[in-house]
Amino acid sequence: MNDNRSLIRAFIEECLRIRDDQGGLTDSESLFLSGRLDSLGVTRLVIFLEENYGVDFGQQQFDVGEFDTVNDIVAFADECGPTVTSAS
Amino acid sequence: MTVPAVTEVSGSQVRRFLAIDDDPRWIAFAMTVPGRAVLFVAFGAVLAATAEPRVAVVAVAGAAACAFLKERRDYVLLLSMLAGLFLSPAWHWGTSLPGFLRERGSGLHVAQAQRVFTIAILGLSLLSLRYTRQHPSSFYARRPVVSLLGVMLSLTLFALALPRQAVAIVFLVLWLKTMAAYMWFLCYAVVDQRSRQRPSMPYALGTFRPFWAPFTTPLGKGAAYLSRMESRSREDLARTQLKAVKLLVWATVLFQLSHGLQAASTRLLGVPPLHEVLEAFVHGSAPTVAAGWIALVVGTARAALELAGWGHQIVACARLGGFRLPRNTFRPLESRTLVDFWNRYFFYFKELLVDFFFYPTFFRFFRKRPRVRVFFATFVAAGVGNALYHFVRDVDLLFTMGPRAALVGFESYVFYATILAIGIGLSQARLGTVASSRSRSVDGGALGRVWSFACVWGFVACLHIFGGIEARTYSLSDRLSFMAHELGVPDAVLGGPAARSASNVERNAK
Repeated sequence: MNDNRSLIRAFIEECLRIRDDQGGLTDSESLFLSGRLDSLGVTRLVIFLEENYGVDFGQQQFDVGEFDTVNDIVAFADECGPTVTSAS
Repeated sequence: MTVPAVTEVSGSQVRRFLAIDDDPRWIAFAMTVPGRAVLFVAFGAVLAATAEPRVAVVAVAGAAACAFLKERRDYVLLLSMLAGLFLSPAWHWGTSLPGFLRERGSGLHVAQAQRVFTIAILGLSLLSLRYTRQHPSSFYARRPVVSLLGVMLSLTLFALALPRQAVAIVFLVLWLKTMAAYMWFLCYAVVDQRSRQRPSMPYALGTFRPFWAPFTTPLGKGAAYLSRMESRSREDLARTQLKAVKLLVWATVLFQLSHGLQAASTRLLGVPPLHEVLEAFVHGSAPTVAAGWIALVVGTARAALELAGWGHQIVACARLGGFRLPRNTFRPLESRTLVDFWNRYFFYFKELLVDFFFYPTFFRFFRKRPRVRVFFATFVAAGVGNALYHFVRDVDLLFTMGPRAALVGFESYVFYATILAIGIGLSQARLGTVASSRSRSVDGGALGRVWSFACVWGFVACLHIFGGIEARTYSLSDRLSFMAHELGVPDAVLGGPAARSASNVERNAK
């Protein structure tokens, strides 16, 4: 569980850094609805989740509002199980 | 010696005004009854100076009701939407439809017919939302855009197949225009019905042309998004409303800047607005290259200022009602890449294209090839979706101009959307995934910023010739000729002024 959180936090911090966002980050802070991350950020998140957790968003509805905070993303990742990389 | 003091006081006042939403005294004042009264009167006065009075009344009254009757916000939204509909039923007509209806709809009480059609569309929308709830896996629930575009295409082809003088055409055109106006609101509502936090029906319908935005692009997206944007406490509401006042004042400043820019260009440099320059060019009177570029730069700057001012005005009205919406335009001059520009320039239109074209494509195609996947999805959104949106919005032109002229006139916008999409797609694919862009963090110092600005805005200004002036009376070849003229191609190569004028006369005669 902690692996997921640290992996996801590192990923989101990298996304923010690319956008020159040095504003710090708490796990309950809005990322997409607040505009801190844009649609390119969503694209990266989707690829990240597909690559690391084997998620197939083509088979389920994707609502960015449900991935708006680190906590939301961690909860989703925890539901998916261990990371693909750690499982292999 | 008093001038610096005055300047200092003035500068300090501006700084204080810019910080009112962070100032505890202002926030406390905005939470009192007199404070609220001052806020709404000031907002209404500023809005009335730039907006149509009926629109301003609906916006301020709707915002007041929404902000202070929070428990009944769903019904307030619905009632304010209906009030807006009855006060200005023709909000989505544009310029050519009234003349067509005067000419063809003799005996028809057009405004009444418009209200009836809108009520019918809203009724059908309600039924379709109920259907979506009952059948969340149906094709319509999963693919609202494809379904509604299919219905519109069928009706359009049917109307075009009718004899030109058939009375039914008037009704079909009105129906199509009304359907086009509400189409994207309905798409958001259908998608929202399948979300985990499903909004109530009055809330969903209340966001169809909400009180703050008489426009076919849903500024504020759908009900599910809006409900997440509601202010959460009295203090949050006061802060949001203070932000609303600030944004409205900024919008007014931008409108004045736009007027000032055109006045300076016309009076000081003797260069008329871009559409007049293009009009003169296609009629055989080519401007000097310098005058053409000035008109183009001023035209592009004015388009950006007007869009920002207009978007700020709308978002300010929503914020006054307690919705913490992000701005529609956010510091576009700071764009470092085309994809960054696309995010900053017209946020809610970009969101519409991302939600209804980018994601569905991104999740289905080229899943094993990340860069191709990103490029293709971006192209479908910024190119295909963009062109489709504008074609549907102006579907009445097929009947008011005639199908051939409307389609030929639309070539230019298709060209614009294609080049824009390729530019944004390459920009987005180049950024790629986090891993690949790690070494490409944006900076580059002052020189890098100047270079980025020149590249992004140079591209935007050149494209403005093709997409900025939406009038379909200028063909793609007219605009390409103008572009070539501005790039220094000799007039003889372009066929010369006489040839352009003659071809224009020939086209108009057709």
